[in-house]
Amino acid sequence: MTDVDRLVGRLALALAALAVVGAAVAVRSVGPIARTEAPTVVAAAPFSPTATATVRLQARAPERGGWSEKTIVVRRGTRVRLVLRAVDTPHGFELAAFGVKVLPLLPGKEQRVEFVADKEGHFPFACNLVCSPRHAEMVGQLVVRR
Amino acid sequence: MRVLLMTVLVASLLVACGPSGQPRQQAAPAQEIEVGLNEFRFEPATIEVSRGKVVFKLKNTGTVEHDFVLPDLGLGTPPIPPGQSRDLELEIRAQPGRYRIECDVPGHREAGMVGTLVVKP
Repeated sequence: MTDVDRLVGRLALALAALAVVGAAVAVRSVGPIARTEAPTVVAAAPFSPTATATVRLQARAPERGGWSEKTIVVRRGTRVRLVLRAVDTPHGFELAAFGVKVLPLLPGKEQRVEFVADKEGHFPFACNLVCSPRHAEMVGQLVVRR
Repeated sequence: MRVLLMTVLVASLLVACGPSGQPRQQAAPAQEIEVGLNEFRFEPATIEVSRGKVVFKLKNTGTVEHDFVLPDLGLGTPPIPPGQSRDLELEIRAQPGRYRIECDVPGHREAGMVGTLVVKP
């Protein structure tokens, strides 16, 4: 192997390393939306007017953890299929901005509801059944991104 | 003769309008019914009463507020905090039949917190 070959090899390695670092920086720059206190579900199917994202959402009273997902993130235009289940006691689900209301959610009975996330923004969802002394804390948010 | 006829007539009217000779019927004592309210039911869920005065002795044995509403009769209590009691006194004049009981705290009716008031003939 000549010096030129070695030089070309090192150059190729350096370029590859640069590409990896660049990709990592790029991913970081569009990383997940800042979390507050709970895991975030990014249900972002590739953008398409017909893309469907399925989100499983379990309901527990706040003293037992509240919503299993406090923040749900989707791209605008996604058809969102929520699979809802109460775990401990009856609950309800309301996402007023999209006219979604499920009442009651009875333990052991899975319920599904679909809607199209057709507007961007942060939209609160909540339990609409007074379920516990800390019922008012049983809230979450849907984030619809461009 | 005319005086005699008038006297008989007045006397007969007084008899017709006066006490019948039977003892006057005493007002029935109020019926007292204890009802527990919790997540998400009334205990008992079916309550039988006779027409007349009723006192529902309501106790919230749950962990969230509840109330006791008779929507068909337009009556009910405000929300009762957990652990607290409240009496609801009613004079039931409704026709015999079955009347719905509900808790109208948001979501509770939908969760099954309903009952039946049976007014006996």
